Amino acid sequence: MKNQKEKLKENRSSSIHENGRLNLLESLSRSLQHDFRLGTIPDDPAIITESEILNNKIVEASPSLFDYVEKLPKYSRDVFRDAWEKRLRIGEDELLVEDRLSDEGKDFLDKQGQQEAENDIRKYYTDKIIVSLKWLSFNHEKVADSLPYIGDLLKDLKEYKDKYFVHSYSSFISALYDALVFNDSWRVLEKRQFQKIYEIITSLNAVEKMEYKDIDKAINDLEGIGLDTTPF
Amino acid sequence: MEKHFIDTSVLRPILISHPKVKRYYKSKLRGDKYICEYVSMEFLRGYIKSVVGFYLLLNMPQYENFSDALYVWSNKFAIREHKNIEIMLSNLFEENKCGNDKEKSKRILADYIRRLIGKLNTGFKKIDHDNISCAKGRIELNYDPKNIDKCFRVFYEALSNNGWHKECKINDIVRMYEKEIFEIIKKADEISASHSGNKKGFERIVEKLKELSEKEKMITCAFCATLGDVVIVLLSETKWILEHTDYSFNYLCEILDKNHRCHPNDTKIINELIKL
Repeated sequence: MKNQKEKLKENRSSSIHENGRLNLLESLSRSLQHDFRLGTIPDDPAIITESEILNNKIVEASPSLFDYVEKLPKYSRDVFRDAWEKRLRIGEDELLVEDRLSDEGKDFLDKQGQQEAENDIRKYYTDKIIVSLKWLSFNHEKVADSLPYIGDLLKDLKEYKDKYFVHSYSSFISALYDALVFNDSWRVLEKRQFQKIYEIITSLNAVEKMEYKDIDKAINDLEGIGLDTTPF
Repeated sequence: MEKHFIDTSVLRPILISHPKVKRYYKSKLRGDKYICEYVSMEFLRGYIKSVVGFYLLLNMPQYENFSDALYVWSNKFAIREHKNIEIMLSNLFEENKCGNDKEKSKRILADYIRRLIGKLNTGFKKIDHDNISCAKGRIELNYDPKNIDKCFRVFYEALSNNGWHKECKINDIVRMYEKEIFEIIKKADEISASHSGNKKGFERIVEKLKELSEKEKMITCAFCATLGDVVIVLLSETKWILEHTDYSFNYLCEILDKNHRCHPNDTKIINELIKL
Protein backbone atom coordinates (compact mmCIF):
# COMPACT_ATOMS: atom_id res chain seq x y z
CA MET A 1 0.00 0.00 0.00
CA LYS A 2 2.90 2.30 0.75
CA ASN A 3 4.23 1.84 -2.80
CA GLN A 4 0.90 2.81 -4.22
CA LYS A 5 0.95 6.01 -2.21
CA GLU A 6 4.47 6.87 -3.28
CA LYS A 7 3.44 6.30 -6.86
CA LEU A 8 0.54 8.71 -6.49
CA LYS A 9 2.87 11.30 -5.04
CA GLU A 10 5.33 10.87 -7.91
CA ASN A 11 2.57 11.17 -10.50
CA ARG A 12 1.27 14.29 -8.89
CA SER A 13 4.68 15.84 -8.64
CA SER A 14 5.62 15.10 -12.23
CA SER A 15 2.30 16.38 -13.53
CA ILE A 16 2.88 19.72 -11.83
CA HIS A 17 6.39 20.11 -13.14
CA GLU A 18 6.05 18.73 -16.60
CA ASN A 19 2.48 19.34 -17.67
CA GLY A 20 2.04 22.45 -15.65
CA ARG A 21 5.09 24.64 -15.59
CA LEU A 22 7.00 23.55 -18.66
CA ASN A 23 3.96 23.68 -20.92
CA LEU A 24 3.18 27.12 -19.64
CA LEU A 25 6.72 28.25 -20.26
CA GLU A 26 6.61 26.91 -23.77
CA SER A 27 3.26 28.44 -24.51
CA LEU A 28 4.35 31.79 -23.15
CA SER A 29 7.51 31.66 -25.21
CA ARG A 30 5.35 31.00 -28.23
CA SER A 31 2.82 33.70 -27.44
CA LEU A 32 5.49 36.31 -26.79
CA GLN A 33 7.71 35.00 -29.59
CA HIS A 34 10.65 35.14 -27.32
CA ASP A 35 13.11 32.65 -25.78
CA PHE A 36 13.33 33.18 -22.09
CA ARG A 37 16.42 32.42 -20.16
CA LEU A 38 15.32 30.05 -17.47
CA GLY A 39 17.08 29.22 -14.27
CA THR A 40 15.95 26.59 -11.80
CA ILE A 41 12.24 26.64 -11.27
CA PRO A 42 11.59 26.75 -7.53
CA ASP A 43 9.32 24.07 -6.06
CA ASP A 44 7.08 26.61 -4.45
CA PRO A 45 5.53 29.10 -6.85
CA ALA A 46 4.79 31.46 -3.97
CA ILE A 47 8.52 32.15 -3.66
CA ILE A 48 8.33 34.26 -6.79
CA THR A 49 6.21 37.34 -6.89
CA GLU A 50 5.31 39.16 -10.06
CA SER A 51 6.89 42.38 -8.91
CA GLU A 52 10.16 40.53 -8.32
CA ILE A 53 10.08 39.27 -11.86
CA LEU A 54 9.10 42.62 -13.26
CA ASN A 55 11.78 44.30 -11.24
CA ASN A 56 14.37 41.88 -12.50
CA LYS A 57 15.44 40.68 -9.09
CA ILE A 58 15.30 37.09 -10.31
CA VAL A 59 15.79 35.46 -13.66
CA GLU A 60 13.28 32.67 -13.18
CA ALA A 61 9.63 33.28 -13.84
CA SER A 62 6.63 31.63 -12.30
CA PRO A 63 4.27 29.56 -14.43
CA SER A 64 1.38 31.46 -12.93
CA LEU A 65 2.85 34.67 -14.31
CA PHE A 66 3.13 33.14 -17.74
CA ASP A 67 -0.34 31.75 -17.50
CA TYR A 68 -1.95 35.09 -16.87
CA VAL A 69 0.23 36.95 -19.36
CA GLU A 70 -1.14 34.55 -21.91
CA LYS A 71 -4.66 35.60 -21.04
CA LEU A 72 -3.95 39.33 -21.15
CA PRO A 73 -5.32 41.54 -23.90
CA LYS A 74 -2.99 42.03 -26.84
CA TYR A 75 -1.94 45.51 -25.77
CA SER A 76 -0.78 44.32 -22.34
CA ARG A 77 1.02 41.36 -23.87
CA ASP A 78 2.87 43.75 -26.15
CA VAL A 79 3.91 45.86 -23.18
CA PHE A 80 5.18 42.75 -21.51
CA ARG A 81 7.02 41.46 -24.53
CA ASP A 82 8.70 44.81 -25.13
CA ALA A 83 9.70 45.07 -21.52
CA TRP A 84 11.16 41.58 -21.45
CA GLU A 85 13.08 42.17 -24.64
CA LYS A 86 14.42 45.49 -23.49
CA ARG A 87 15.37 44.05 -20.15
CA LEU A 88 17.34 41.23 -21.70
CA ARG A 89 19.01 43.61 -24.08
CA ILE A 90 20.06 46.16 -21.51
CA GLY A 91 20.80 44.00 -18.52
CA GLU A 92 19.25 42.59 -15.41
CA ASP A 93 19.88 45.39 -13.00
CA GLU A 94 17.60 47.99 -14.47
CA LEU A 95 13.95 48.27 -13.56
CA LEU A 96 12.30 48.60 -16.89
CA VAL A 97 8.77 47.31 -16.63
CA GLU A 98 7.91 49.57 -13.71
CA ASP A 99 8.69 52.52 -15.94
CA ARG A 100 6.39 51.31 -18.64
CA LEU A 101 3.34 50.27 -16.64
CA SER A 102 0.88 52.60 -14.95
CA ASP A 103 0.08 52.07 -11.26
CA GLU A 104 -3.26 50.62 -12.24
CA GLY A 105 -1.55 48.24 -14.64
CA LYS A 106 0.93 47.11 -12.02
CA ASP A 107 -1.81 46.63 -9.47
CA PHE A 108 -3.85 44.63 -11.96
CA LEU A 109 -0.94 42.40 -12.89
CA ASP A 110 0.00 41.95 -9.27
CA LYS A 111 -3.49 40.88 -8.24
CA GLN A 112 -3.83 38.58 -11.23
CA GLY A 113 -0.51 36.98 -10.48
CA GLN A 114 -1.26 36.53 -6.81
CA GLN A 115 -4.57 34.88 -7.62
CA GLU A 116 -2.91 32.51 -10.06
CA ALA A 117 -0.19 31.61 -7.59
CA GLU A 118 -2.83 31.10 -4.88
CA ASN A 119 -4.74 28.73 -7.15
CA ASP A 120 -1.57 26.76 -7.95
CA ILE A 121 -0.69 26.35 -4.29
CA ARG A 122 -4.25 25.46 -3.36
CA LYS A 123 -4.33 22.79 -6.03
CA TYR A 124 -0.96 21.42 -4.96
CA TYR A 125 -2.03 20.99 -1.34
CA THR A 126 -5.55 19.86 -2.15
CA ASP A 127 -4.13 17.09 -4.33
CA LYS A 128 -1.95 15.96 -1.43
CA ILE A 129 -4.86 16.10 1.02
CA ILE A 130 -7.08 14.19 -1.37
CA VAL A 131 -4.55 11.36 -1.71
CA SER A 132 -4.78 10.75 2.05
CA LEU A 133 -8.56 11.21 2.17
CA LYS A 134 -9.11 8.82 -0.72
CA TRP A 135 -7.14 6.12 1.02
CA LEU A 136 -9.00 6.70 4.29
CA SER A 137 -12.37 6.74 2.50
CA PHE A 138 -11.80 3.27 1.12
CA ASN A 139 -9.60 1.59 3.68
CA HIS A 140 -10.02 3.14 7.12
CA GLU A 141 -11.00 0.54 9.70
CA LYS A 142 -8.54 0.65 12.56
CA VAL A 143 -6.76 3.83 13.62
CA ALA A 144 -3.46 1.97 13.95
CA ASP A 145 -3.50 0.93 10.27
CA SER A 146 -4.54 4.38 9.07
CA LEU A 147 -2.07 6.37 11.13
CA PRO A 148 0.40 7.17 8.29
CA TYR A 149 -2.43 8.59 6.17
CA ILE A 150 -4.07 10.49 9.02
CA GLY A 151 -0.61 11.80 9.94
CA ASP A 152 -0.03 12.99 6.36
CA LEU A 153 -3.48 14.56 6.22
CA LEU A 154 -2.96 16.52 9.44
CA LYS A 155 0.56 17.53 8.41
CA ASP A 156 -0.61 18.87 5.03
CA LEU A 157 -3.54 20.72 6.58
CA LYS A 158 -1.30 22.30 9.20
CA GLU A 159 1.38 23.23 6.69
CA TYR A 160 -1.10 24.95 4.40
CA LYS A 161 -2.89 26.88 7.13
CA ASP A 162 0.39 27.99 8.73
CA LYS A 163 2.11 28.99 5.50
CA TYR A 164 -0.72 30.44 3.49
CA PHE A 165 -2.84 32.15 6.06
CA VAL A 166 -3.69 35.01 3.71
CA HIS A 167 -5.34 32.65 1.21
CA SER A 168 -9.08 32.51 1.77
CA TYR A 169 -9.01 28.71 1.33
CA SER A 170 -6.96 28.49 4.51
CA SER A 171 -10.12 29.45 6.45
CA PHE A 172 -11.65 26.15 5.40
CA ILE A 173 -8.44 24.20 6.00
CA SER A 174 -8.06 25.61 9.54
CA ALA A 175 -11.67 24.75 10.34
CA LEU A 176 -11.11 21.17 9.23
CA TYR A 177 -7.79 20.98 11.08
CA ASP A 178 -9.26 22.32 14.34
CA ALA A 179 -12.20 19.93 14.08
CA LEU A 180 -9.85 16.97 13.64
CA VAL A 181 -7.22 17.77 16.24
CA PHE A 182 -9.25 19.06 19.19
CA ASN A 183 -9.49 16.22 21.72
CA ASP A 184 -7.97 14.02 18.97
CA SER A 185 -11.35 13.82 17.26
CA TRP A 186 -9.71 12.14 14.25
CA ARG A 187 -9.47 9.00 16.38
CA VAL A 188 -13.23 8.49 16.36
CA LEU A 189 -13.95 9.34 12.73
CA GLU A 190 -15.43 6.64 10.57
CA LYS A 191 -14.71 5.71 6.99
CA ARG A 192 -17.92 7.36 5.77
CA GLN A 193 -16.94 10.63 7.44
CA PHE A 194 -13.60 10.66 5.64
CA GLN A 195 -15.54 10.00 2.43
CA LYS A 196 -17.77 12.99 3.17
CA ILE A 197 -14.79 15.24 3.90
CA TYR A 198 -13.34 14.17 0.56
CA GLU A 199 -16.61 15.09 -1.17
CA ILE A 200 -16.83 18.46 0.61
CA ILE A 201 -13.26 19.39 -0.35
CA THR A 202 -13.79 18.27 -3.92
CA SER A 203 -16.98 20.26 -4.37
CA LEU A 204 -15.47 23.35 -2.72
CA ASN A 205 -12.56 23.20 -5.14
CA ALA A 206 -14.94 22.85 -8.06
CA VAL A 207 -16.22 26.37 -7.36
CA GLU A 208 -14.81 28.61 -10.06
CA LYS A 209 -14.19 31.70 -7.96
CA MET A 210 -14.07 30.65 -4.34
CA GLU A 211 -15.51 33.20 -1.92
CA TYR A 212 -15.98 33.19 1.83
CA LYS A 213 -19.64 32.29 1.44
CA ASP A 214 -18.58 29.07 -0.35
CA ILE A 215 -16.08 28.37 2.40
CA ASP A 216 -18.71 28.95 5.09
CA LYS A 217 -21.06 26.59 3.31
CA ALA A 218 -18.34 23.93 3.20
CA ILE A 219 -17.61 24.48 6.91
CA ASN A 220 -21.32 24.10 7.60
CA ASP A 221 -21.24 20.83 5.63
CA LEU A 222 -18.41 19.62 7.88
CA GLU A 223 -20.66 20.34 10.86
CA GLY A 224 -23.39 18.37 9.12
CA ILE A 225 -21.26 15.22 9.17
CA GLY A 226 -20.62 15.54 12.89
CA LEU A 227 -17.41 17.59 13.02
CA ASP A 228 -17.19 20.50 15.42
CA THR A 229 -15.36 23.28 13.63
CA THR A 230 -15.43 25.69 16.59
CA PRO A 231 -14.38 23.32 19.35
CA PHE A 232 -12.52 25.81 21.57
CA MET B 1 -40.16 18.04 12.06
CA GLU B 2 -39.89 20.50 14.95
CA LYS B 3 -38.90 24.08 14.30
CA HIS B 4 -36.67 25.63 16.91
CA PHE B 5 -36.52 29.36 17.38
CA ILE B 6 -33.19 29.93 19.06
CA ASP B 7 -32.71 32.62 21.69
CA THR B 8 -29.23 34.11 22.17
CA SER B 9 -28.86 32.27 25.49
CA VAL B 10 -28.99 28.99 23.54
CA LEU B 11 -27.24 30.22 20.39
CA ARG B 12 -24.03 30.94 22.30
CA PRO B 13 -23.62 27.44 23.79
CA ILE B 14 -24.51 25.85 20.43
CA LEU B 15 -21.56 27.71 18.90
CA ILE B 16 -19.16 28.04 21.83
CA SER B 17 -19.28 25.82 24.86
CA HIS B 18 -17.95 22.66 26.42
CA PRO B 19 -18.27 19.64 24.05
CA LYS B 20 -20.75 18.04 26.46
CA VAL B 21 -23.02 21.08 26.32
CA LYS B 22 -22.85 21.04 22.53
CA ARG B 23 -23.78 17.37 22.53
CA TYR B 24 -26.75 18.14 24.79
CA TYR B 25 -28.10 20.76 22.38
CA LYS B 26 -27.45 18.54 19.38
CA SER B 27 -29.62 15.87 20.94
CA LYS B 28 -32.39 18.33 21.88
CA LEU B 29 -32.54 20.39 18.72
CA ARG B 30 -32.97 17.93 15.89
CA GLY B 31 -35.21 20.02 13.67
CA ASP B 32 -34.55 23.22 11.74
CA LYS B 33 -32.96 25.96 13.79
CA TYR B 34 -34.15 29.52 13.19
CA ILE B 35 -32.86 32.84 14.39
CA CYS B 36 -33.85 36.47 13.76
CA GLU B 37 -31.66 39.52 13.14
CA TYR B 38 -32.17 40.54 16.75
CA VAL B 39 -30.61 37.31 18.02
CA SER B 40 -27.72 37.75 15.56
CA MET B 41 -27.24 41.24 16.96
CA GLU B 42 -27.23 40.04 20.56
CA PHE B 43 -24.58 37.43 19.71
CA LEU B 44 -22.47 39.93 17.77
CA ARG B 45 -22.82 42.58 20.47
CA GLY B 46 -22.42 40.25 23.46
CA TYR B 47 -19.78 37.81 22.30
CA ILE B 48 -18.16 38.62 18.97
CA LYS B 49 -17.62 42.28 19.81
CA SER B 50 -15.77 41.26 22.98
CA VAL B 51 -13.53 38.83 21.10
CA VAL B 52 -12.80 41.40 18.39
CA GLY B 53 -12.08 43.86 21.23
CA PHE B 54 -9.52 41.39 22.56
CA TYR B 55 -7.96 41.09 19.09
CA LEU B 56 -7.62 44.89 18.87
CA LEU B 57 -6.09 44.98 22.34
CA LEU B 58 -3.61 42.25 21.42
CA ASN B 59 -2.75 44.29 18.34
CA MET B 60 -1.58 47.21 20.47
CA PRO B 61 2.21 47.54 20.46
CA GLN B 62 2.55 47.75 24.25
CA TYR B 63 1.35 44.16 24.67
CA GLU B 64 4.03 41.69 23.74
CA ASN B 65 2.00 38.52 23.80
CA PHE B 66 -1.32 36.82 24.49
CA SER B 67 -0.76 36.61 28.27
CA ASP B 68 -0.13 40.36 28.62
CA ALA B 69 -3.23 41.25 26.65
CA LEU B 70 -5.38 38.69 28.44
CA TYR B 71 -4.32 40.00 31.85
CA VAL B 72 -5.37 43.55 30.96
CA TRP B 73 -8.51 42.41 29.19
CA SER B 74 -9.80 40.16 32.00
CA ASN B 75 -9.39 42.91 34.56
CA LYS B 76 -11.31 45.27 32.36
CA PHE B 77 -14.21 42.91 31.69
CA ALA B 78 -14.71 40.71 34.72
CA ILE B 79 -18.20 39.58 33.85
CA ARG B 80 -19.61 36.10 33.56
CA GLU B 81 -19.86 35.94 29.78
CA HIS B 82 -16.17 36.70 29.41
CA LYS B 83 -15.18 33.54 31.24
CA ASN B 84 -16.36 31.66 28.16
CA ILE B 85 -14.16 33.84 26.01
CA GLU B 86 -11.12 33.32 28.22
CA ILE B 87 -11.55 29.57 28.05
CA MET B 88 -11.95 29.75 24.29
CA LEU B 89 -8.84 31.90 23.85
CA SER B 90 -6.70 29.66 26.07
CA ASN B 91 -7.77 26.49 24.26
CA LEU B 92 -7.40 28.07 20.83
CA PHE B 93 -3.88 29.37 21.43
CA GLU B 94 -2.74 26.28 23.25
CA GLU B 95 -4.00 23.85 20.63
CA ASN B 96 -2.43 25.92 17.86
CA LYS B 97 0.83 26.17 19.80
CA CYS B 98 0.96 29.96 19.63
CA GLY B 99 3.18 30.30 22.73
CA ASN B 100 4.33 33.90 22.94
CA ASP B 101 4.11 34.47 19.21
CA LYS B 102 1.88 37.52 19.04
CA GLU B 103 1.51 37.59 15.26
CA LYS B 104 0.54 33.93 15.09
CA SER B 105 -1.95 34.41 17.93
CA LYS B 106 -3.53 37.30 16.05
CA ARG B 107 -3.80 35.30 12.83
CA ILE B 108 -5.33 32.28 14.52
CA LEU B 109 -7.82 34.40 16.47
CA ALA B 110 -8.82 36.44 13.42
CA ASP B 111 -9.59 33.31 11.45
CA TYR B 112 -11.56 31.84 14.34
CA ILE B 113 -13.68 34.97 14.71
CA ARG B 114 -14.41 34.92 10.98
CA ARG B 115 -15.40 31.27 11.24
CA LEU B 116 -17.77 31.93 14.14
CA ILE B 117 -19.49 34.68 12.21
CA GLY B 118 -19.65 32.39 9.17
CA LYS B 119 -21.31 29.70 11.28
CA LEU B 120 -23.79 32.23 12.60
CA ASN B 121 -24.72 33.16 9.04
CA THR B 122 -24.86 29.69 7.52
CA GLY B 123 -25.72 27.35 10.38
CA PHE B 124 -29.14 28.83 11.12
CA LYS B 125 -32.13 29.76 9.01
CA LYS B 126 -33.35 33.32 9.17
CA ILE B 127 -37.06 33.75 9.90
CA ASP B 128 -39.23 35.12 7.07
CA HIS B 129 -41.39 37.38 9.21
CA ASP B 130 -38.76 39.52 10.90
CA ASN B 131 -40.91 42.58 11.63
CA ILE B 132 -38.20 44.28 13.65
CA SER B 133 -35.32 43.56 11.28
CA CYS B 134 -32.59 44.79 13.63
CA ALA B 135 -30.08 46.81 11.59
CA LYS B 136 -27.19 46.12 13.95
CA GLY B 137 -27.78 42.40 13.47
CA ARG B 138 -27.16 42.82 9.77
CA ILE B 139 -23.67 44.29 10.15
CA GLU B 140 -21.26 42.26 8.07
CA LEU B 141 -17.60 41.61 8.62
CA ASN B 142 -15.87 42.35 5.34
CA TYR B 143 -12.99 40.04 6.04
CA ASP B 144 -9.72 40.62 4.27
CA PRO B 145 -6.91 38.40 5.52
CA LYS B 146 -4.37 40.86 4.12
CA ASN B 147 -5.80 43.73 6.12
CA ILE B 148 -7.28 42.21 9.24
CA ASP B 149 -6.58 45.05 11.64
CA LYS B 150 -8.49 47.52 9.54
CA CYS B 151 -11.50 45.29 8.85
CA PHE B 152 -11.83 44.41 12.54
CA ARG B 153 -11.56 48.07 13.54
CA VAL B 154 -14.35 49.01 11.13
CA PHE B 155 -16.48 46.09 12.33
CA TYR B 156 -15.92 46.93 15.99
CA GLU B 157 -16.82 50.57 15.45
CA ALA B 158 -20.00 49.57 13.64
CA LEU B 159 -21.00 47.29 16.53
CA SER B 160 -20.24 50.05 19.03
CA ASN B 161 -22.42 52.56 17.21
CA ASN B 162 -25.74 53.00 19.00
CA GLY B 163 -27.47 54.83 16.19
CA TRP B 164 -28.66 51.78 14.27
CA HIS B 165 -32.20 52.11 15.67
CA LYS B 166 -32.82 54.73 12.99
CA GLU B 167 -32.44 52.06 10.34
CA CYS B 168 -34.64 49.32 11.77
CA LYS B 169 -38.26 48.96 12.76
CA ILE B 170 -37.87 48.76 16.52
CA ASN B 171 -39.68 52.08 16.95
CA ASP B 172 -42.79 50.55 15.39
CA ILE B 173 -42.92 47.78 17.97
CA VAL B 174 -45.70 49.37 20.06
CA ARG B 175 -47.84 50.01 16.98
CA MET B 176 -47.21 46.53 15.53
CA TYR B 177 -47.65 44.58 18.74
CA GLU B 178 -49.95 46.86 20.77
CA LYS B 179 -52.32 44.03 21.72
CA GLU B 180 -49.53 41.71 22.89
CA ILE B 181 -47.73 44.43 24.86
CA PHE B 182 -50.98 45.41 26.56
CA GLU B 183 -51.58 41.76 27.43
CA ILE B 184 -48.11 41.41 29.00
CA ILE B 185 -48.58 44.52 31.14
CA LYS B 186 -52.09 43.46 32.15
CA LYS B 187 -51.21 39.93 33.20
CA ALA B 188 -47.77 40.65 34.65
CA ASP B 189 -48.81 40.83 38.31
CA GLU B 190 -51.05 37.80 38.08
CA ILE B 191 -48.35 35.65 36.44
CA SER B 192 -45.68 36.94 38.78
CA ALA B 193 -47.74 36.01 41.82
CA SER B 194 -48.41 32.48 40.57
CA HIS B 195 -44.73 31.57 40.04
CA SER B 196 -41.99 31.20 42.58
CA GLY B 197 -38.94 31.36 40.23
CA ASN B 198 -36.61 34.26 39.50
CA LYS B 199 -38.69 37.21 38.28
CA LYS B 200 -36.24 40.10 38.27
CA GLY B 201 -35.64 40.06 34.50
CA PHE B 202 -39.34 39.78 33.74
CA GLU B 203 -40.26 42.62 36.10
CA ARG B 204 -37.63 44.87 34.52
CA ILE B 205 -39.07 44.17 31.08
CA VAL B 206 -42.62 44.94 32.22
CA GLU B 207 -41.43 48.27 33.66
CA LYS B 208 -39.86 49.21 30.33
CA LEU B 209 -43.01 48.20 28.44
CA LYS B 210 -45.11 50.38 30.75
CA GLU B 211 -42.74 53.27 30.07
CA LEU B 212 -43.22 52.77 26.36
CA SER B 213 -46.98 52.46 26.45
CA GLU B 214 -47.48 55.48 28.71
CA LYS B 215 -45.61 58.07 26.67
CA GLU B 216 -44.06 58.17 23.25
CA LYS B 217 -40.38 57.43 23.56
CA MET B 218 -37.57 56.97 21.07
CA ILE B 219 -36.23 53.43 21.36
CA THR B 220 -32.48 53.74 20.97
CA CYS B 221 -30.14 50.75 20.71
CA ALA B 222 -29.35 51.19 24.42
CA PHE B 223 -33.04 51.13 25.43
CA CYS B 224 -33.72 48.30 23.01
CA ALA B 225 -31.17 46.16 24.85
CA THR B 226 -33.54 46.11 27.85
CA LEU B 227 -36.40 44.79 25.68
CA GLY B 228 -34.50 41.90 24.09
CA ASP B 229 -36.57 39.01 25.44
CA VAL B 230 -39.87 40.69 24.47
CA VAL B 231 -38.68 41.27 20.91
CA ILE B 232 -37.68 37.63 20.58
CA VAL B 233 -40.96 36.31 22.03
CA LEU B 234 -43.00 38.56 19.76
CA LEU B 235 -41.12 37.27 16.70
CA SER B 236 -41.53 33.62 17.66
CA GLU B 237 -44.22 31.74 15.72
CA THR B 238 -46.84 30.08 17.90
CA LYS B 239 -46.13 26.60 16.56
CA TRP B 240 -42.37 26.85 16.93
CA ILE B 241 -40.46 26.06 20.09
CA LEU B 242 -38.64 29.02 21.53
CA GLU B 243 -35.44 27.56 22.98
CA HIS B 244 -33.93 29.58 25.84
CA THR B 245 -32.29 29.47 29.25
CA ASP B 246 -33.67 32.75 30.66
CA TYR B 247 -36.53 32.68 33.17
CA SER B 248 -38.24 35.78 31.80
CA PHE B 249 -39.26 33.78 28.72
CA ASN B 250 -41.26 31.43 30.92
CA TYR B 251 -43.56 34.29 31.92
CA LEU B 252 -43.66 36.04 28.56
CA CYS B 253 -44.42 32.81 26.67
CA GLU B 254 -47.14 31.84 29.13
CA ILE B 255 -48.89 35.19 28.74
CA LEU B 256 -48.68 35.15 24.95
CA ASP B 257 -49.34 31.42 24.69
CA LYS B 258 -46.13 30.61 22.81
CA ASN B 259 -44.43 27.25 22.76
CA HIS B 260 -41.09 27.32 24.56
CA ARG B 261 -38.52 25.21 26.35
CA CYS B 262 -36.26 26.41 29.16
CA HIS B 263 -32.89 24.62 29.10
CA PRO B 264 -30.57 24.32 32.08
CA ASN B 265 -27.43 26.46 32.12
CA ASP B 266 -24.07 25.08 30.95
CA THR B 267 -22.85 24.09 34.41
CA LYS B 268 -26.04 22.21 35.19
CA ILE B 269 -25.89 20.36 31.86
CA ILE B 270 -22.31 19.26 32.50
CA ASN B 271 -23.06 18.19 36.07
CA GLU B 272 -26.17 16.27 35.01
CA LEU B 273 -24.25 14.49 32.24
CA ILE B 274 -21.43 13.58 34.62
CA LYS B 275 -23.97 11.98 36.98
CA LEU B 276 -25.41 9.79 34.20
